[in-house]
Amino acid sequence: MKQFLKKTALFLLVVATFATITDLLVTNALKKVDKGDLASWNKIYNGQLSEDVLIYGSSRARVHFDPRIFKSELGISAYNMGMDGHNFLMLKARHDAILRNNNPPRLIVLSVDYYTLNKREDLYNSNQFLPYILEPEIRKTTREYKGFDVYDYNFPMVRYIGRQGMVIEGFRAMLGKPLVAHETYNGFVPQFLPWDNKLETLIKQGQKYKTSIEERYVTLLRNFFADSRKRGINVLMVYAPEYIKGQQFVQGREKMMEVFQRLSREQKVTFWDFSNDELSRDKGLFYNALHLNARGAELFTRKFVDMLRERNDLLSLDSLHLSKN
Amino acid sequence: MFFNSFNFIFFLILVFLLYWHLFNKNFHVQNLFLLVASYFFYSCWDFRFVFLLGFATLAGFYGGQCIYRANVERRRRLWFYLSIGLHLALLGFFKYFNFFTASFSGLLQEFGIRVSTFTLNIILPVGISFYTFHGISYLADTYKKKIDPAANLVNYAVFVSFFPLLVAGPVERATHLLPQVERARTFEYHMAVDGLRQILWGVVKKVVIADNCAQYVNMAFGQTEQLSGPVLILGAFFFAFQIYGDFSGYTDIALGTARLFGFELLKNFAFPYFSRSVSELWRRWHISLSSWFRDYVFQPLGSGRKGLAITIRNIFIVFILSGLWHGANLTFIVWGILNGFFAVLSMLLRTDKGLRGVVAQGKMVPSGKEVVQMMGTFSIGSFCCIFFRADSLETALNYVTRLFTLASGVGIGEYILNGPKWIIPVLISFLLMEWAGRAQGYGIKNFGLGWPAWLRRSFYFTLLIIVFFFAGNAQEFIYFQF
Repeated sequence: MKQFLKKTALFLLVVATFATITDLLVTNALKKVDKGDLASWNKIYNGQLSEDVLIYGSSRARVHFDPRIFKSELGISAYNMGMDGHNFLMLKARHDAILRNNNPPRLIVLSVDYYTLNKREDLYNSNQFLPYILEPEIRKTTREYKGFDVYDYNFPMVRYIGRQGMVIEGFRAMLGKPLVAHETYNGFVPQFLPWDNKLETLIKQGQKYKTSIEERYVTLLRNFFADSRKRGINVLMVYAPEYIKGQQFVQGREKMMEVFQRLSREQKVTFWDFSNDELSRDKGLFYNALHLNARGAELFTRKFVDMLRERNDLLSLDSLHLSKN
Repeated sequence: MFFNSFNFIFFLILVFLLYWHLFNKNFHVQNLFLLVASYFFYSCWDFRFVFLLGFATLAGFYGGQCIYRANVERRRRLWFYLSIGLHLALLGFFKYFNFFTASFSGLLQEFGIRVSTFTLNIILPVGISFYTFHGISYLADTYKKKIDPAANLVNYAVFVSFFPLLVAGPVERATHLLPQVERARTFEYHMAVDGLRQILWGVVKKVVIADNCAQYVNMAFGQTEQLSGPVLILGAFFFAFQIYGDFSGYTDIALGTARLFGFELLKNFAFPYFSRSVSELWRRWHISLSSWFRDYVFQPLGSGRKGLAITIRNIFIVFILSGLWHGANLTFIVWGILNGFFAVLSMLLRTDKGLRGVVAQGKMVPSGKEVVQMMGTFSIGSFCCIFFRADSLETALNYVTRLFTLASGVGIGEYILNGPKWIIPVLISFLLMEWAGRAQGYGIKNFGLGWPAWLRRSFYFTLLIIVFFFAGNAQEFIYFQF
């Protein structure tokens, strides 16, 4: 029995050593990737964020706000922190990580939508959290989702099991050849896609998209506004364009908009709602009911930046020359 | 608590250490400890079902006692039928009640009689098909005086609920397992090492083979309308590998785990996809269930001794019951009928003649004829599996129709690219390993035993890395639903 236990323990020790070393190598390499979803996290945790404006939100933020236009039109730097499929709970975790590791921005543009206050059980695109799972904000927040379990947090390499893509990505990054497919521009991902007809299918099937409001997230959002005010960070809440015909197929939309408006009044946060804007009426600018295509995103960002130009108070950039080209 | 979870690993380590170190003085104490561990294991699924398991155990134990103590044959028979009836009633209520009430009201409606369907919100207790069959085998063997009843309730309860086999078998026999429970076990180094090796191979089968094939299978059965006929054929083959990797992988983990505690469980798989006929396939697939049906259904019905017509009837009865055992769905019944049909055909055409032992025994490669036989048998098995996998009969028929008409749609290239494409070389390597080990208990049983220790351990280490690296998205074990 002793021999069995000794040999088994030795074998497991070798496995554990291998797992620890591989974990260190892969994780450290992933922390250096400068493209795709990891790029934003890496920038945050490496303390490399020095942009004047940060854009928060879900995929709608990610594909709608082009930081290059902020730079060319206003001469200010911006970074798009949009996270596909995530609500305010995760945005808040990212915000906390930003504040802990970087200087605060002058302005946060918070793009709100159906996802913002809607509870989600699964941890969407959980791969992006792998290198930073032990960071306090990520650890605390990801635990609220079905994504990682106790072993993922406490044992080396376990969280990489079944995620071959990320391990390969890590090894490639080690060799200086990261794989990531899509190019981002300070977090912005333009979508050169045609209209996908999903709305028509939805209408044909008589289905409706349901959105709900998680009261805890409302409180979280309220506290975020208050805390930002205390820290001297301006916050601008935005409802980016949304295809007008799709809006009537969302159950609970009015209630959601009421919450945003109420918070805006209550917290004295500017709220720009583009859902009735002319951009929302042009189907040619969208690739689905919720997302603008690259052309739409460009037009929207330009319009947004023009409006922002008029609001020096939001930017706190009196010293900068905001001239129109 | 799944076998392929870290929870199970820690549970197993703890139970193993306590079993051999703290409770090793007396096997009665060891049995009691195993019982507590098994009930804890079962309660992790749903603690309410522990009471059901307890009830089934009490019914089996006292039923056996009553059968044994009854002096008059009539009374013995009465106790036997009562106890068996109680087990079947449990199984019938929890597994088939809704199916039969819905089917019955559907049948009445066919004749124009409208009845409101009364169904209950019944949750299927995990493993019920297995532990009720354990109980039935015990009662039947006690009635036939093949065994004496269990010496005490704890021993019998361990036989019924031993955690490695509790939720998905193998379907044990009282004649095989109970004597092992009722005698002292000593720790044997080689048995334990062999157990660990079998567990490792089981994990590879489940996590690498089954869980990755599942992605292709889910595509094939979830998007049937969009896929071409050849892709659907491939999808059926992938499911054949998925279910084999899943179930035989589970069985390997169960058998290996039992070995760590000094128990030998019944062999459940013997490389079924290297079978040369349907009859051989069924001698190699889910052996413990097939032999259960052979001994407790086929033989009491007269097996093959009462003429051809009766034999064919008996074969169909066995396969239909086997289908029904898997679940309350018409798809399983059709699966049973199809297998019965091919088994009868195999018997009539004598395709099984001379097919004893292992294919190409003592040879590296099979003959051309053997290859054709194996591929034919595998194709038949995969075809039947379509009905096993489909959610409904309509889905299965649609799948089969598109498959046979070679419907147009997404081609093989695109289908493969949309999943874990590296599974193809991994599957080929897996099949080669299984082929090399086909005369052994499991694929890697004797693999590398003649090698230096460091090389052999490097091989196991490589398997572990493969598990880490190629693990698919965790899927529930298919047979847990039965």
